[in-house]
Parts: sequence; C-alpha cells; structure tokens
Amino acid sequence: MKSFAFSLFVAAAALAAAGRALPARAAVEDSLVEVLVTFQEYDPFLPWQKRQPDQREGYGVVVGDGLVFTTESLVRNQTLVELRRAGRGEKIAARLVMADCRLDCALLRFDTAAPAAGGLAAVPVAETIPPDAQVAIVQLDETRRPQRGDGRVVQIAVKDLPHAPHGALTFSVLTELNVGRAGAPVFHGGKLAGVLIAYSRQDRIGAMLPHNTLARFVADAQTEPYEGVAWAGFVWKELVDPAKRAYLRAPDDGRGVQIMTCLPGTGAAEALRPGDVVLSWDGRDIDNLGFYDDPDYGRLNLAYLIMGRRRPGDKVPVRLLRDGREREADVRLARWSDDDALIPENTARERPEYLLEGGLLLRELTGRYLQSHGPEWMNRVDSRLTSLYLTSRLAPERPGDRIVILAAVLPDPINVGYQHFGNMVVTRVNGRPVSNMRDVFKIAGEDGMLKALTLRTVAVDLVLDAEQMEAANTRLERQYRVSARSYRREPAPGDSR
Amino acid sequence: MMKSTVNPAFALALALALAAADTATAGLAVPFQTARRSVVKIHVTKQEDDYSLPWQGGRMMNGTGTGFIIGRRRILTNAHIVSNARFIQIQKDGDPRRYDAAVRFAGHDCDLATLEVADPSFFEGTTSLELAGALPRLSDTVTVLGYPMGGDRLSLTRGVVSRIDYSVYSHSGVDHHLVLQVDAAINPGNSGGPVLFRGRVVGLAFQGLAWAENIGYAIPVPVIRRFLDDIADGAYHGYQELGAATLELRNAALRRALGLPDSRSGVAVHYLDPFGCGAGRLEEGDVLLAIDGHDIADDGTIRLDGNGVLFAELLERKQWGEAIDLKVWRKGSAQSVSVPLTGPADPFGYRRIYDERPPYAILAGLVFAPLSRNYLETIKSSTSETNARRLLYFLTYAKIDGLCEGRDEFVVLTRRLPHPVNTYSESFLYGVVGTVNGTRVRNLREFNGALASPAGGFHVIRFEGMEDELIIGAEAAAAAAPRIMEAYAVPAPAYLGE
Repeated sequence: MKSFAFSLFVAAAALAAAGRALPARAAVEDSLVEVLVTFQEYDPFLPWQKRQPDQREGYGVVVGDGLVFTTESLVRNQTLVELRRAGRGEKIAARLVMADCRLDCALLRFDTAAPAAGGLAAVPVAETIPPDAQVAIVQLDETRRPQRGDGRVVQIAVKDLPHAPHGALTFSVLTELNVGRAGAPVFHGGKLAGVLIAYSRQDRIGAMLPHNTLARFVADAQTEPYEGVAWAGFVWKELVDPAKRAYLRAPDDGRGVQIMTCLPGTGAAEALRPGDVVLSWDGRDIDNLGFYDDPDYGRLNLAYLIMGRRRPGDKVPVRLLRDGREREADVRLARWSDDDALIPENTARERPEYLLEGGLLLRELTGRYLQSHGPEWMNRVDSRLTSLYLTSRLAPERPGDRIVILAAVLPDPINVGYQHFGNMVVTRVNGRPVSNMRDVFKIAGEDGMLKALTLRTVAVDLVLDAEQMEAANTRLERQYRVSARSYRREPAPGDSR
Repeated sequence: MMKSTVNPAFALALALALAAADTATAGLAVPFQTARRSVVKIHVTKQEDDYSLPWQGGRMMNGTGTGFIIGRRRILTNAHIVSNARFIQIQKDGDPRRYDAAVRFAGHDCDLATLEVADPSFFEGTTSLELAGALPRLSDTVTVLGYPMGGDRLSLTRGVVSRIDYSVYSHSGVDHHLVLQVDAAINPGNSGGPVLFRGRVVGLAFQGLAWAENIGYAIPVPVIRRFLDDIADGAYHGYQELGAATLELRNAALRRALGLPDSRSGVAVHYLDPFGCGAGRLEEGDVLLAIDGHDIADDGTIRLDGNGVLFAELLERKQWGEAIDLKVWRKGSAQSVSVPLTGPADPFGYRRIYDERPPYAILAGLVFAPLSRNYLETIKSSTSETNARRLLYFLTYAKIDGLCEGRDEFVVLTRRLPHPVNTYSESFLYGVVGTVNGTRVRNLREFNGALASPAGGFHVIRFEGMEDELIIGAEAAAAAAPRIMEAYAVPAPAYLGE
C-alpha cells in the first residue's frame, strides 16, 4: 500500500511539472496502449522446432488511423500481439505491418471497428524539438492509469541500440520517472517527441528514439517497397594519431577519418578504398573522430549524416585523401541490409535456412547462432568461428558469400563415425564448392541428395550411403520428430544472392 | 603423444594422501621401514616468469614436494615441483640437515624430473626403490608415501587403483598420457611421491581434480620407464608425434568411398601436422591399417596385452630415433610405410614453457613477444578485446589453417607501456604482427632487425586481420626510449633469446 501511495504522489507532482509538454489529458489516454506480445523463437540448434513461447509487455502509441508505433525488440518473434487501452481490461488484436531491427521500430495495425478500440486516436508527431527540450513521459501504473513524469533532453548522439548491435540517433532523457517497460511515449509541446527504448534506473536516463526517426519509419512502413535505412557499405576508424596523420599526409586542420573496410557490392566498394581518408561527406567537414556539425543537432557522428539525412538510392559527394592527394568521389547509398555481411547478425532472430540430410544439419553462420551458445559463447564456440566473426564478419569475398557450417549431426546408423562433428565449416557438397545455403540447396536439388560433405581442413569427405538415404531420412524424421528437413526463405524480388 | 589444445581438467599440482592404513593388506615386499629411507622432502624456491613483464624475474614462491631415490644417486620427482626453481634443497625423513640439489633432467611433457645431490654423504643410510615390471590392476591396494600438508614428517596412506586411463598432463597444458587413478583424498605438498604395490613403484603421484573427491592421479610406471630410458643417453628428447589426425571408419559408405575391402579395417588420415613425424611419409587420405604388426580396428584401437587400447599407445612407448612400421591403404593397395620418429621441434605446439627466459623487443614503449601459452594465460579470459580473443585462434589453428606458414613464431604486441609516443596504439594491442616496414617477419629476431630500417621516418607495422596500420615516428620512438625504460624499469630494449 505504501508504494502505491508513493507512486500516486510522484504522478501528481510530475503532472504539475510536465503540464506544458503534454497534450490534453484525454489525448494522452486515447493514444497510449499497452502492447502485450507472445513470442517464440525458432530453436537455433534444432531449427525445425521452436523454443518455449514467452511473453513481453511494453507500450505503443497510436500514430495514425488504426496504426500503433512500438519497438521492434518488443514484437520480435511475435506469434500474437494484443493491445490494451489505459484503464481498460479488453484486449485488441493487432498485426505487425513492419518491423526494422536496424532502428528498433515497429508498426502495428489494429481493427478500428473492434469494440474495445473505440476512442483510440492518433497523437501528432512533433516535427522538431529543441535540443534541450522539456518533455513529459507517460506510462501506466499498476492500476493501469497513466502516470506522468517530466524530463529533459540532455544529450543527442548516435548510440548503439539497446537490443541490436547498430547505432542510431538517440536522445537521452533525464527523468525521475521510473520507466519500467519499453515503448513509453515522450511528449513535447503537446506532440509526440519520441518513445523510450531503454531506461537506466541508476542513471535516471532514458534512451529515446526521436520523432524524426519515428515519423520517417511510419511513413516508409506504409509505402511499398519498404525503403529502410541508407548506408554506403564501409567501416571507418578515427584518425587522431599525429604520427599517422603525418604519415598519411592528412591536413593539419584536424579533418578526416580513415576507411578500413568496403563491403563488396556496395557503393563504398565502387568509389572508396581501404586507407582513404574522408575529409568531408555530403558537403560537411568530418573531424578526426568522425563528427560533423549537424544543422539540427550540433556535433553528431558521421553515421547520422548517411542514415539520417539521406535515403537509399541517393548519391553523395565525398572529398577524399588518397595517397596524399585530395580527390572527389560520388558514393552511392543503398538500403542497409544484414544480408550483405559474410556472417549476418540476424538480430531479428529470423528462422535460419537449413538442410538436414542423413542427420547432417547444414546452415549458415550468424551472430545470433553464435550468441545462442550462451553469454560465454566466445569461450565455448570453436575459436575459428569466433575469429571469423570478430574479423571477417563484414568482409565477404563476393556479395552473397556466407559461412556454411555443419552445425551438428543427429546420430543415426547412416552417419556413424561422423557424430562427433559439429560447428565445422563446410567447403564442398558432393564435391562442388559452396558459398552459401543457396548453393547447398542447388546442389542437393540437382543431385537428388547430399552424398558427400567436405569440411574445411578435413581431407577425408564425410560420405553418406545413397541407398540408405531415403530410409534414414524417414527414420530421422520419426525418431527426432523433425517436422521439416529443410527450410528455404522465399528469395526477395531483386535479391542479388 | 596425443595432444589436446584445450585442457579440460583443472588438475592441480597436488599429491596423494590415502586415508586408511591397514598394514595387513599392504603386502609390502620391501618393509616400510626400508622404503621410507628412499622418500625425501624437496624444498624449492621458484620464480615463475611473468610473461606480461618479461624483463623481470617474476614472483617468488616457496614450496615443498616429494621425491624418491631410484638408484645411481638419482632422485625422481615431478617436473612441476622443480620447474623455474632458483634454489632446491632436499631433506631425508628424520634428518634435520638439508642438502643442496640441482635438476639433472626435466621432461615437461610427462611431468617428470631427476635431481642430483652433490654431497655424497646425503646417500648414507638411504635405499633405492625399484620400478615394478607392469601396471597394477584395478582394485589392487597401493601405498603412497610423501610429505603432504598438515605435518612435517613422512606420511603413509593407502587406497586402491580405481582406473587406468589416458588423461591430460596439466603441467604442459597440452599432453595426454596414461594415468593411474587412485581413490585418495588429494592434498598439496606431496606431488612426486611414490605409489607402491608390493614394495615396487607402480606410479608417481602428480595431480588431482579440483572439484572431485577421492580422485588422485599418478604417473604410471610405463611413462616413468620411458622417461628414464629417454634420458639414458644424456639428453631428454621427449615424446614423438605422428601428427596424423584420423577419422574412424565405422561408416560403411566411407569405407567404400576410400576403396577399402571388407577384410580390412583402420582409420583414415584426414590431416597431417607439418611438424609431425608422419609428414612426408604419410598422405592425407591414407588409411592406417596396422601399426608395428598390430591391426588397427575401425575405431582406432589395437589389441595389446589383451586390452583394447588406442593405436597411439604404441607410439607412447617409443623413443626418439626409433621407427614405427605402419601398413597403410593408399590408392587401392596396401603399402608398408616406416616412419622414423625423428620429428622436428614444433614451435607451434604451445606447451607451457619452463626454465626459459622470455624474449621480447620494445619499440616506443610497445612490448612485442612471441605468442606462447604462458603469455595467453596472463590475459584475462573475460576480456572482450577482439585481438585477444583471436590469439586463441592463432594458438589452436596455427598449423591447421596454415597461419604459421613463413614464420617460426607469431610476434604479438603484448602490452603498452604508456607514453605520449604510443598514445594511439590501443587498438593494436594483442595483434599478431604481419609486416614491419614492409618486411614480413618470421620471428622476433627478424622483427627487431626490421626496426632498423624505418620507411620515410616512420615505422609501419601491419597486423594480421587488421586493415589499420600502426604508425610510429622513428625519431620520436628513439627519443622516447630512455624515458620509457627508466619509468618502467626496463633494463634492456630487447632480449632475443640465447
């Protein structure tokens, strides 16, 4: 009872302080929903089956007619998404329109005709907010009544997302409100300033996905095709070291970062080279730490200049230093895609492509698969795979190349002698080289089955008895309750792979 | 012989102390009062080299262990008791005097060593223990003598042989040999003590398992004998590796693919270690059919003295310079291949190093040293440093993935002694050096040599798997050196070995 009384007190105090930031009380209550998610991930080790289903709860905010914005990490691997209004018990079924783990953004659609959805109304999204804006954060208390707290934007920077290894523009909001779940809306001037994607109780800092990211995603998600985030396809590093600057003959004015890697198939690979020094990007000087002066937000990381101020398909002018000489280049931007990597992260935990034949389980290596070996995965997974992930993740030799692995062997008479193999790199199937699962499916399809597997640095092929194969596959399916011996993703239109 | 790159057992340098003392069942052929006169206490002052500060002597430690006299005035003990020793003294039971001793031979791959005592009066009143002719059997009652913690005098304990198996020898970190497991509580201090059956030595207590109870390990008599035979010519050569990784042939489809007739059995060579004895004699894809006349089964075992043991056990018993006769199935026919066991020294075997001063070379406060297991153990396993994580890959896959080609060792940037000249080098820490000033370096000596020729006033160092280059101004590096050496108490800019 005590804590309840305390929270009411905080709510009242916060309401008074944040009055200016909030829209009318009714508008807040009519746009805020709880998002109740049941999710289930495909088992990374037995990919025909799923892990235990579980639940997550967070918030969403109505941003259009029948449209709710929430975070991607909340609805990840969703099997059911339901909404619930403030102060109400009824649940409203919703479906996922689009989710993008690169931005931690998701858009849901609900049936506006549903009885419980009556009265839900969109809140306008702010077009701009000042860098030190006073804001109000809203969440629901345990009685499901809106609880408001005031806050202030204290920092604007490109930071790693809390649930994905990608940087995105993040507003840090200092607030006393103890924000318990992701997706809580933040208001300024009566409009939606953003949503909180994380909150640190210790620092009292919430990470806010800002209004512009949100507005752009909502518009993009409703138009075919989804455009996504732009990127050029390179990895860069700061260039502070005076000795190195002198060696590269970089200017004394403190400009420039160094290109480290260009991914094949990207605009960077066409126009840039490792070792190039980027002096200016898209007309703006880049300092030696990779910052530029943003007209809206001040000093920001180069990443935002690409992903936030440009769109896929744009060509941007770049001023470079190569071999001590300055030069101009135009760099084509494309949609950022995890699929460009040699080892995709698979942050969204999508179902992996696999083939199980004669008990041999083949799949591609992903960051998610490695991390599924537990928090100590770097100590548990073979050091060769760890090393590949750490150094070559973004460096396929050709676009579409992946690491195909023999993930495991399900013991059966057909594969005796091979059952101790696991997490080994596969170089050939039936004697033909494979660079990804597409090659594996192609060869297995043409030859009718997987007859021989070549593992990297294992000079003897693992050979399977062709005559036993059909019986063995039937037996394996029955014994291990394998519902599908393979899974192949539908190739997206225009997929280069 | 059989090597594992990962050490699964937390085997401690401990010794055996058996619980019961039922002399009625002991069956000592040599009376205890005689046997005890051969068992000595070893007092050691050690200094373990600190591979993160390789120019220093390292931390000092005092410890005790056990040894026993085996004739010809030799004292047998564990290598781990006397490795990195600075001062060794030996004491007989009930005798207050301590005698100076020195290591004569140390086999770090089998954790055995012999000591010498210069003072002839030491051996007055002592006896020698004899080695048994064969291994004891399971459930045989054995007696262990030694100087475990909890007292100063000789201790006698007893237990049974619980298991005879292969296990890791934790002293080197990589070697597997036969071990004798005894059901004894394990206590520090009496490593090196004899395990006696009917008054003869069947083993030498050497390690325990940290989390287990009543599991103590002894080095069995065949391994002891092999060590003593090895040093008989005045030098220790160690175990020879065949260097053939094999795949068992229990799969009929695989046997057919290799063209092996049904009447034959064996294992297929799927990888040959370039530093193994088999390199150049065997071929990848060979099927090993028989070893020294013993047919190899499809699971890699042979029948030996009525037991099924791994075929490698025959190699375990061989000495350097001997040969092993293999029958192999190659390209459709059986062939005889004699493999002389005279393999080259393997710099990429990564045994833990003892009794060697660690080499290093310093440039601008950046310490470079050869990759070693000792160095890797100084890095916290919790580190998230990408480069540090990759060192384990270099250590494990040096030969398999051909990383060692063109090198004698991997030169690693092991640490930074902070100074303004090296402020921006943090991201290169733990990196493996590829080229220095345009030169590919085989070893630390070549690395140090390449520093003599900076290009255009800069040292340019490239690391494996990194796009970025480390740039150090040559003049600035030279100017900073005296201050760095003084501040961090580094006596010399490099030690490149003998």
